[in-house]
Amino acid sequence: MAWDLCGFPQDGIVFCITVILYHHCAKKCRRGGFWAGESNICTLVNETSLWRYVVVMLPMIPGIILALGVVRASSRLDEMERRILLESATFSFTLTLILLISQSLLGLVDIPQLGDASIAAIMCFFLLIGKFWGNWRYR
Amino acid sequence: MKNKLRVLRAERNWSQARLAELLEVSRQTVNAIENGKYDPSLPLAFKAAFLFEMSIEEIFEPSEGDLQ
Repeated sequence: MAWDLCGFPQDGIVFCITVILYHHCAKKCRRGGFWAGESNICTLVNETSLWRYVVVMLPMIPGIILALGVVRASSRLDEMERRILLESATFSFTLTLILLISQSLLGLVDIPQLGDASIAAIMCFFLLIGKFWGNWRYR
Repeated sequence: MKNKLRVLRAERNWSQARLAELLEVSRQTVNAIENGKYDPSLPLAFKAAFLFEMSIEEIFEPSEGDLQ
């Protein structure tokens, strides 16, 4: 893989514009705007430029903030709440894994496949079910 | 595991919320321990024992199934 740093100043400017455009697109498009804005912006950056990778990774910034928030919130939980969270995460992970394997098997008989966003949503849904189940169990 | 947490708490006129505050856990955790749905960890059991100025064995006692 060749890293193109030669066009640094130009790409740097493009990068700044893309960041501004990115936020603009994300604000404008209410539904799926986050990802739609991202794909539009990627077309503006030189295909061989290093900045392309930076732009592609932009949505991870709120993701990292979210992850840090989750870690911080989980560290504040007491031992039973942590146990409920662990059980629901295990429940969610296992069910999602079963679902994914089933889905890939069903793909052999031309059943439409789920997208990445749907899988994440399903995982969150299972986590929520696990959390409710845990709260009910230790009520 | 059986425990006398509810009795000890009642003797001191503490609410579950108050005990939870003193043990630095949630009210739900105190409720689960009192109802025998959740067995506390050793540090939490020590904390409860220290709070009630008793030994762990005086507060918590194993049920028949725990010793098998």
